[in-house]
Amino acid sequence: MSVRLIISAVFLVMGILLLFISAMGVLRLPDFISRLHASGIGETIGMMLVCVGSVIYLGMNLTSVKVIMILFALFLVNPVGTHLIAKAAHYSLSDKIGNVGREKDADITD
Amino acid sequence: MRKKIMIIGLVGIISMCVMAWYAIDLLPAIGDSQSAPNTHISAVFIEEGPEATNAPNMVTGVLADYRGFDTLWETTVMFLAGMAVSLILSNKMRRHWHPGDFNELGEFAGIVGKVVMPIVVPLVLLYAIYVLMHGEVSLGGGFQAGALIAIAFILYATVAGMEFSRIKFTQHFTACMGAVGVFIYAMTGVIPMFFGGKFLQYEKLPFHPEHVAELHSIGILMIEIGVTVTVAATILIILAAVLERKGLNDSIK
Amino acid sequence: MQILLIEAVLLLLLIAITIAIIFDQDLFACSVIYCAFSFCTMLLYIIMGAPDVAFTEAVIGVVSTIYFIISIKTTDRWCRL
Repeated sequence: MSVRLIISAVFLVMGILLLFISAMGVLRLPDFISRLHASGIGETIGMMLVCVGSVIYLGMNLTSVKVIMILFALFLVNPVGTHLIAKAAHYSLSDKIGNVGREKDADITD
Repeated sequence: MRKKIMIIGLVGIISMCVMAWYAIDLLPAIGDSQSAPNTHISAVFIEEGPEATNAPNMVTGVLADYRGFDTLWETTVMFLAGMAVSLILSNKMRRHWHPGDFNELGEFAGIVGKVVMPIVVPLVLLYAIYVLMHGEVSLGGGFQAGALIAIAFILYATVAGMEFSRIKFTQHFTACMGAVGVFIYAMTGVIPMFFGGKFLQYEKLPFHPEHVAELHSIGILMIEIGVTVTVAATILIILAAVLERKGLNDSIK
Repeated sequence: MQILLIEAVLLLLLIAITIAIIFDQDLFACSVIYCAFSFCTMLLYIIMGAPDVAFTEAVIGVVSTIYFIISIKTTDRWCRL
């Protein structure tokens, strides 16, 4: 059990924990905007921690360079996706967001 | 009535599961080298494949060299499926758009369409060409590359709208693109016949590389380019066929 | 007949996802769950030792999800059983 293995295990466990918490948040939060917060922030940081854990486990390798590129791509694209989801919701129905409850005909808040 | 249908469905599913449970024991194990299909020609493919086809990736070697004739018709079937969707979904009320008449979706994109998309979309296209070129060596090939090219366009069209593209991807254009892809594939097969070979025989292609075995790589690359163009055209023709109908609730004139 | 633990978990997850798709009344949610189905199938292909097929499944899963959502926009979103 070298030090590198333990450090990479710590990062991986933290990342998986964050992803799990964000998934629980998406399921249990009442409103669309809150669920968007849980998904957008939690999943981005969780994926980045998993990538960092993988890079530490692999060492200096060509594979770890590719994983670093994946990390940059995720860091760039994931928040943009969250922003676009929120903007699309605002564009579709600007008066129904923030509505707590189970309306059968609400397009996006359910 | 609905309950009767659900009961019949459940009975059917359970009987199929029971039959499958007893039938699975009759199949050989996965990866068994002594099973009946694996003893005749798989040994030849595994031993002679990477040298004869000059492709370390055995899957591409079998798909594009040993079984290249099947892949030609696979590509044709994919193109026919795209044409069928276009014929079903076409009606007279059609939105004619030209590159340059932007609709209000352009303002929806805002800063994302101006800053992030010019970074992400060229990277996706570059990755598509990388996957195409490395199909013989590592994972990839023509099908993945064509789907990635289409995804790059869909990504941009989702954010900013189809009118922002320089190339007018309508149903006409993508149908012609699909036909050009199949034509490239078929021409790679016919050209060796002019130089004394059979259909799709790569050794008689009219190029002269240093080693004779590299002709196989050139032939496989030409085939994969044809497959890429056809797959991208098929995916885009379905998009164009759905989005060009008037009747979606949008405010296009 | 041997089966790995992760294969068994993924296959049971596939059955659960299929039941959720069949009995759901919101077609919008069904198309998103279909993306999860495609993802589980991709993991199964990797475990079976076919990375080419897994790569293709990953790419086509994205495309088919987008097309399902576009098609739902032209018809009803709710399918009352």
